[in-house]
Amino acid sequence: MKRSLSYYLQLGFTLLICAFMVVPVLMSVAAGLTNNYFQGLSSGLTLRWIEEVLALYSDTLWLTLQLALATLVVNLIVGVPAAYYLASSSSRWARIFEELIVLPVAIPGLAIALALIIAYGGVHGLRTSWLFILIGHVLYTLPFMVRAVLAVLHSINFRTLEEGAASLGAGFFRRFIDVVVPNCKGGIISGALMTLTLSVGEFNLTWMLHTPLTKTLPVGLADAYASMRLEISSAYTLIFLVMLLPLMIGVQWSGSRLRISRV
Amino acid sequence: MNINEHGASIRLEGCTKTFADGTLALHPLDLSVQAGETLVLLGPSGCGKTTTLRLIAGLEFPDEGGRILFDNEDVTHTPIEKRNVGMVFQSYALFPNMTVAENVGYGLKVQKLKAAEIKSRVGEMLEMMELGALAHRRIDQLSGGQRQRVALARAIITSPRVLLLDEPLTALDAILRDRLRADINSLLRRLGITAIYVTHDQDEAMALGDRIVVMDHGRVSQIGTPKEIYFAPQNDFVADFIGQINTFAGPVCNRQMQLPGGVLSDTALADGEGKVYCRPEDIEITDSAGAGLRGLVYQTQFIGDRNRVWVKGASHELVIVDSDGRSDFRIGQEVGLQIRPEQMIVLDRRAESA
Repeated sequence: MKRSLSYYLQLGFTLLICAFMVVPVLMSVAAGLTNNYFQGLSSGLTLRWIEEVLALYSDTLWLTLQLALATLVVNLIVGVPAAYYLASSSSRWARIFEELIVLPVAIPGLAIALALIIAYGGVHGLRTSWLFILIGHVLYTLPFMVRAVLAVLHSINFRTLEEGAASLGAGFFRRFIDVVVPNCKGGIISGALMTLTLSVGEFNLTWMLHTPLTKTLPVGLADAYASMRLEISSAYTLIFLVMLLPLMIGVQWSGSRLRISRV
Repeated sequence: MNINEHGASIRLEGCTKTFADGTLALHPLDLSVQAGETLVLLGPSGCGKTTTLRLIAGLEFPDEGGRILFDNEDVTHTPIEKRNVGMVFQSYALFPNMTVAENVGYGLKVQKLKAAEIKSRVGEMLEMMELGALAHRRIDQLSGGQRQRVALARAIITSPRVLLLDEPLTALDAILRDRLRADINSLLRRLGITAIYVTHDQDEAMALGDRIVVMDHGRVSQIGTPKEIYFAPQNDFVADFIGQINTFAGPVCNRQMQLPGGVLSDTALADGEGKVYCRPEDIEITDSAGAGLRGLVYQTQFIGDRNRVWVKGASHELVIVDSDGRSDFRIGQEVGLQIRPEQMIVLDRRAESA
């Protein structure tokens, strides 16, 4: 197929826009790998900044992972049954609640953090514990899990499937585990990946709630930019990307799997 | 393989059903089903047949005061999980996350049978339903007819005492429906299971049912064998709903009814206004000369095994007559209609006003 001039112009324009957005990221990555940013690539490539970051911030790294996984566990235990309940209920309140559940996403993270501090900040031991940040992360990511599972539930006729299982003698929990959950797998995976990605990258809320002992990667990054060499902050960004990119690709992949299997 | 010793007898006493929004879906219903019988619930949409089926299944419960008994055991408040029934849904409700073999064996798995036993019983059942080659297929890879058979296999493998079928053939095309109808019929006879079959298709009802319950707006219109329903309808609704019917209404004197096209003789009616029904296949088209009842051919339609003729002017509405397939009529041709007295359907006055 012969391509026209306008096709190439459009392609060129699109590539230019992509470059505009990608080049800063590449430059940042490059900065984290050079000996001296101000001298540029001529000063040589090195891994010592990455080593230094890992040495300084290994605690932060582990806490970030711990928080992400804990948020995921809470979301699974709370979110999946919640989505099931909303999908089964035919009352008007359920429909209203389905819309309201996205609210925490719209409200600025700082505002939610402030609200949490006011409400639970006085609870003994909670303020300085990582659990406090967990609460914030769950509030922020739960809507995504619920909505992902809810979308799948609305699209399959799970009530008839449940009746089918019930006619064969399966009680409520049996049905839930054998029939409802497996058929929501796509939504659960999508919600799970969303939860992990959002939790790892969350800044606004975590920054307000953190203490020197309960920092996550994004918060540590802010610290690094504020107080340390550019190379260290850039190396930090690199590590961040390495953690996040597989998760993002995973979300994309599971999303396209869902679309294929639906056809 | 012995699937069933016998099915259970079912009795419904005074069952009504009111939905949450207040609508009365079912008026007080008394129903008695013999063990091993196939009972068909027939009627148009909204008549209450599916509601009745769901009450028997245990997916819904009757209002206060209604009772449901299986073999004299009161199961009114027993939910479906404990009622030991098998059910085939209109959409089959097959589990997409399981293979054919896993679907069929699910009921046995819930009963916590040993894996080896489940495997052998599932194998036998799949052979019986000619699904052996499909054991490891996923549900979305099956055709409509195959899904239907999987749904049936899954429902009967647990040896339920009652089998409930909710319009199982509705989702299939006409040719497949005919074929599967015969298969289901022979399967039900062979199993000797008590079956409740819901449909809106009369042909299906008459082919499968030992008895048919014709329902209308939450009430039972008539219960009877297919022949009773067809040849001896007890009220206007049943007469009208089942098959094609012609209505002859007019003043009667000396057993003769005055009609626009002449006179209908030998009606078994008393003097006064009367109504007689007649099936299209029971009316004979004769020469118009000397015929008591005459009309003009309005339209004809050759259907293969018969020639359907619409005659205008004999009665107050078009009369539909099924004539021999090889007959030929011109539009506008004058014909005579002859109806033998034994083929006139006269409704019982008392039943009509019920």
